[in-house]
Amino acid sequence: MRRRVAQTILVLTVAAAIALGGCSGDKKAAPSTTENKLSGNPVEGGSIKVGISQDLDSLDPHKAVAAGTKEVLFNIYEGLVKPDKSGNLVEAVASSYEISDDARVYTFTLRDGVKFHNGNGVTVEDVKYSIDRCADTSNGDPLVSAYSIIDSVNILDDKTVEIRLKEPNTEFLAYMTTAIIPKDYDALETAPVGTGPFKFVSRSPQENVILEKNEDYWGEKAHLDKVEFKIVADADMLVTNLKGGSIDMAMRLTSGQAAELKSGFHIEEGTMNLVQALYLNNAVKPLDDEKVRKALSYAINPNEIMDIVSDGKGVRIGTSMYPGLKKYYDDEYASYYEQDYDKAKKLLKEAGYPDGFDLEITVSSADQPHVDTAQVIAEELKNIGVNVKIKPIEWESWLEDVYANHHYQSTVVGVDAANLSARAMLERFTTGNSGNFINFSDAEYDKIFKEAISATDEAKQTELYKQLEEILIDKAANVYIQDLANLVAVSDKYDGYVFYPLYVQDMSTIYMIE
Amino acid sequence: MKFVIRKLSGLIITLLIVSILAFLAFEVIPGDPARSILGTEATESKVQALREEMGLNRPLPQRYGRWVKDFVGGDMGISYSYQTPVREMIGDKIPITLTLTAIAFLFILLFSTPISILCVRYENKFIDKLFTILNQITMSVPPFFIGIIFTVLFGLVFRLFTPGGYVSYEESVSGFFKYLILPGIAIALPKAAMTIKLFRNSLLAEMRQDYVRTAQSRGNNPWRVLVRHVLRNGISPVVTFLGMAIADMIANSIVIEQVFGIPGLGRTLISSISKRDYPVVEAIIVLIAAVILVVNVLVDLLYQKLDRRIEV
Repeated sequence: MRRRVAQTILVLTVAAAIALGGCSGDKKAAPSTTENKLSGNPVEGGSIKVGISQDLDSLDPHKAVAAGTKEVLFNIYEGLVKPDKSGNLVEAVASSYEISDDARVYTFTLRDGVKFHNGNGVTVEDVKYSIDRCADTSNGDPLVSAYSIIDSVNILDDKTVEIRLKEPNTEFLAYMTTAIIPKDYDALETAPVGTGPFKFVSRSPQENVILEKNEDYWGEKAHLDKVEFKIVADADMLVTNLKGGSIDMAMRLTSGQAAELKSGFHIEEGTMNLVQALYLNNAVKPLDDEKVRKALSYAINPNEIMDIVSDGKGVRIGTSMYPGLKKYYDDEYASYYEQDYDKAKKLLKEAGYPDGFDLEITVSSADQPHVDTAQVIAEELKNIGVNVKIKPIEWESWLEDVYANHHYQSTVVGVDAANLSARAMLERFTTGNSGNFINFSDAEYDKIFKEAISATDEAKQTELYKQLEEILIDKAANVYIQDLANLVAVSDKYDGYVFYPLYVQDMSTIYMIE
Repeated sequence: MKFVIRKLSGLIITLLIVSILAFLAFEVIPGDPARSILGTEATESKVQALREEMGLNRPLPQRYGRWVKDFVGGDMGISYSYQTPVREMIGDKIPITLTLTAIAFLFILLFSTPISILCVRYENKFIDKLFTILNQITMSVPPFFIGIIFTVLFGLVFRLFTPGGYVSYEESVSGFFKYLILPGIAIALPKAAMTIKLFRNSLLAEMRQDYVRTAQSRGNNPWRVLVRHVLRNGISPVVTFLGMAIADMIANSIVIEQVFGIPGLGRTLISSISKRDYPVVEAIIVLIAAVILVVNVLVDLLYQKLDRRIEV
């Protein structure tokens, strides 16, 4: 039945695309469609092996930072609320919540019968402990930066916890996805205990992480009995391992890799929920000149990049917001700068660079899509006399040179959101923010941002965030490109894969078919 | 006794130099372990707090001294990225890599000895020429490429094994060895080709010696002369070569492990280097160096056994 609906939607979309095709040549966000020809009945039980490209950086949910780690831990841990596949926050460990009118007090009621994997029930003490742990400032900054506005976490009774904030914040719920862990439990790194649909079984460094079904899960239980995340560090080995059968599923394949998997697999197509751009260091010459940045924006054609790098897959975007955060996303923004070499050259001339200049693009060498994108950009920029030198470096060096020390001119990278809030994408561009690696600084932006985070009216707040996105476009803070396509190969023995508007991998929806 | 002391002190000094170089290498290359752990959520104060916690803010000689002291006491430290003792982390990976190297070494002997003898016995005949050509080809193909061909051919076409489907020795000993055969051959082939070339030439030179002609003219069976006399005298350069090749083979094992998805030291070493996980890298480098040095001492001893004239 679901499939029939999907087919109808597909037919309608195609029809609409043909009808609209005449008026717009833009790449619109196409709904993810798959040629899913699977048939057979879902069965309970069984196991799956999932290939992941890097080992987890930590099993402690509060200390893990790599996106590749969080997507695995999503299956083990839960917060008071958790994101669902449509991008809403739904109650998890809490059964209900209340936000005071002034957006300063968040009150949560615990769900009955939620148990940790060690069999103990979740108590209000555990909740307070988990949040306090992330808000602790004894080591400098709190583990979750946004928790610096927490004034106090109070236990009201044995089912209710309230969180008082120092300042109003309507988006704070998005940060309440922080994992709830047992109070004073200190073996998280070696034997993690959470409340999620899967339990931790074992881990072997650089080899695998094994999870099993949590039979006592409070919500809809997982279908599979066992999930093994197997580390396949070499991208070339991924396809071989899929074909050979040592893994059944892998995420984030390139279109070339996906094309190699002709039989035995279905390819699900979604997006990675990140903003890929040519990020520009707004503090170095000549990129400190708005005209130069605009010239670059006019010279680069995201559609061409997508066509060359990923067979046209991906969604073009125009500002620091990806389509998954629907509320704040507007696809009008994508086409603000249409490729126009004459305009670009004119702007360069006005800025005092009639003959162009030399531009260095630093890029993490392991991220093939970014390296490929940089190469297309280099070709495109030749047309306006800008000489590009691509500098591939290791990810660790990228973190240090580019992200921390800002010793770079420009870089191609994907920036994602830690949670489902506009703030997670836009806060970094405020003056002096530690994540502001492009050194963007705009008084108007800072002012509106302050208003936005303290606004208590949701519509007003959304409007303010959109204004911020427009400032980023108008000032050409970066040359925005796309939200990369996420191609997931799933063996035909399984079905039920679900995309989230966040970087997570929900294994509980996947089931085996006969 | 004097010999043992001399060799042992040489070994310790070499290991010290290796460990200092490894320590210094990390000082020189960019990248910071604390920042690597914190990723994009790193703020200056978080990085500093973590560096302090990890003891990275202490001066280099102090850190090195402490490391040596712990290492000698059997404590290899705690991995930065896994928060587990390095000894636990690499303890069960060392046997995997060493077994792979040993299997490769066995294959070299298995291939090269009979083929070399055959080539010498039928010098310039068809079989000799055939192997000379095959040798030349095999020698020029790097092990990882042979590994990739094996994976596609035996894994995907003939389905003799599952690429990436490594079996641990705890699970099944025979499965473990079965899985290591192809990687072992991939490492062995180019080295075996070199060994054959060297072995053949060395044996041929020996065959031209007067004593061989004398032995043969006395009516001894040519096979018997070859195996009993010539082989023993002609093997010395091969032993030297194989002793040196061990180091190279361990290096090749590390690469081949990636191709076949074997969770040995290789993958741990590579990922630890990129994460700047010094304690793990130091331990692996020093251990590999120790293995190579010990093998070299053994080769020296063997050398002396083969030719009593040699002083070691």
